[in-house]
Amino acid sequence: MLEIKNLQAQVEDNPILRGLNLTVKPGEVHAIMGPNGSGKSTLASVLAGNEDYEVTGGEVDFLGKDLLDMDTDERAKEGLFLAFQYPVEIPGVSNINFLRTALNEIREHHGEEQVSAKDFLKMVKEKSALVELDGKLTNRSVNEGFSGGEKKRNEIFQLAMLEPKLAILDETDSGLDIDALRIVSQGVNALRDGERSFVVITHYQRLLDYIVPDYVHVLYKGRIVKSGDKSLALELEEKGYDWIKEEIEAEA
Amino acid sequence: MSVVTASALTDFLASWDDQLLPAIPALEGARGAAREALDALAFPTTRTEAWKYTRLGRIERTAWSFQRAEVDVDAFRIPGFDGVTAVFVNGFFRPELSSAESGAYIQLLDNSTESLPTPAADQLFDNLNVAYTTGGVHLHVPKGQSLERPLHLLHVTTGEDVIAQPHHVLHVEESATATVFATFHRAGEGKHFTNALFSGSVAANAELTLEKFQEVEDAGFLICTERVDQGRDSRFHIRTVTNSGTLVRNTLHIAINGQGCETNLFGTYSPRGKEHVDNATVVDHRVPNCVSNELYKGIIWDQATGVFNGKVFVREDAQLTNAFQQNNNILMSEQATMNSKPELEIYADDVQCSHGSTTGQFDEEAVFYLKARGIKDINARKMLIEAFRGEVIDAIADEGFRAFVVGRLR
Repeated sequence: MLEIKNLQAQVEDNPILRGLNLTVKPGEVHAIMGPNGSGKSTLASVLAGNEDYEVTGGEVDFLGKDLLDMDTDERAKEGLFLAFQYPVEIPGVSNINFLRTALNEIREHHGEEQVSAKDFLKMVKEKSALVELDGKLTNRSVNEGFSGGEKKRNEIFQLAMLEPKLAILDETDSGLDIDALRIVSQGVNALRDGERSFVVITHYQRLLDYIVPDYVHVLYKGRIVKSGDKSLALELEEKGYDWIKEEIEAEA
Repeated sequence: MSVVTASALTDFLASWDDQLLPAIPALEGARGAAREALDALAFPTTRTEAWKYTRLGRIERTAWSFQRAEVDVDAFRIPGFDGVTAVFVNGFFRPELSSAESGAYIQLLDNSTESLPTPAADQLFDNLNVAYTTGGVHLHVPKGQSLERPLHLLHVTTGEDVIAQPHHVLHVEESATATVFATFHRAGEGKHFTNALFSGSVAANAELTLEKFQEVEDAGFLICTERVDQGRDSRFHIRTVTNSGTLVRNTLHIAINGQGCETNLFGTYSPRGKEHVDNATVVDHRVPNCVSNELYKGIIWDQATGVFNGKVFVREDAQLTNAFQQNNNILMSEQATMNSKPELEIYADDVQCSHGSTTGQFDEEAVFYLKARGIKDINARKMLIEAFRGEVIDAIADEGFRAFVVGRLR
């Protein structure tokens, strides 16, 4: 599904990713944790094609294609989805119209027919129920005036509508109260179908109680320095990141 | 011995042959006064406050002429439109292209029996228009009546160095209503200049809507002046959508003379290349208890320039006025320029007024967000532009006209 080899990226001459390796197979859920500034969100942005980040080395294979060679919209059309840490408010663009345009562009890319108005509305109804998103919100301008929790639920709603092959959740849990966290996680779990893969970037172990990962990776100074199963997350929760930092420094 | 002093406009007017102009009895009195006023007038320079950002040299240095011409105007008709269309080619009325020479409450200005007023002596373009009018329509909706379908004033210019000077009078009497569409287009490649004048009066409790759409393209110069008086409890709505034109200037002056009035001014402009669009508006609140609401939105591309100079006067007597003014712009390139000058002059103390102006770059974060959902860059940008000017365009009440405008917008 996704194979990242020796990925290096920088922002304004500051190297952030310094040789990152990660392999995600179909249906797997990978959690990426790490202290602040380790490069978690940079990884999400680089994979989605944000041009504020300059890729200086390495390669990324996505379903047999060179991901880094694609424009942002092509990556989405090929099946990559990024749930934003800070979803953007777009006044005047309705949630529904924008999603319909996106869905149709994706379908056109795969040589499929445009979605009919009837099927689309049916989908909206189904998928918004998945994250308990108020019907009124789906008709409003994208994220405008949404609460923090509503914005994150809207991200998962879009994920459900666009049905990507790989979803990257960038700190989707940050700033959520326990109810919102539960709703968002339920939404994500409902979309786990054995084929779709997830990369869950989080600062807090709490999310992983709800979305149980197959693998947990620790990102530190732009590289994955430790990988394990879900028990690694618990260990991190208990002991913090210092012991890992010490391990790394000792090796160096 | 008599001394003849050449006026500043002698050279400019040398090529204007008034033999080609129609006789308009309603303007006879005003015409003499206007020609006299022209003797003392010159082109405004950028030292003139109202023209600070708009250079008129290219208009002043051209030897314009009145020309009658044949042209196909079908491309400029509003699909499905069932009101009266009055077609003006190079400013001259063309009965064979128009749906009717007259309709209920609509007649040619040539046939009007009213005596029309003289323009203010210091206004160059008003006086040029009145002194050399090429034609126009006189809409007069009597008391309590309604113009059932809108009137479409369709203007096309064609030819080389051609000037058109349409003059339209829009008069809605007490409790009457009317909607007028005024569109400006060009056919062919030549340089052309339209100097249009609208004079409107909206009597007590009446309502007038004026929808303007301007696409005069390359080598197209367009100056549109609207002077409107509002009586008690009247409503006046005007929208100016400028799609293209080398130089477009809209001078809008609204005098609010009666209490309980509502005034809405909307505009959007999207100059490209080296185009220049200037909107200068004056809303003059002279009496209490009125509301005015102004919203202009600009998208400036390439090396183009936009100008917004919106002035709201709230006179000493105009207590309890609500006046709002907003101008928002997006610069689409580093060479694009916007000069925005919202001004409030308030002499009353119990009023609610606000004005604001913003000019910024395109929201690249929003573009990225849309692209990350699978939308192509160009479509994401189109979507955001449509959203930005949507507040102005979506509010066009007539569906057919809105579709016409949306279909033509760049």
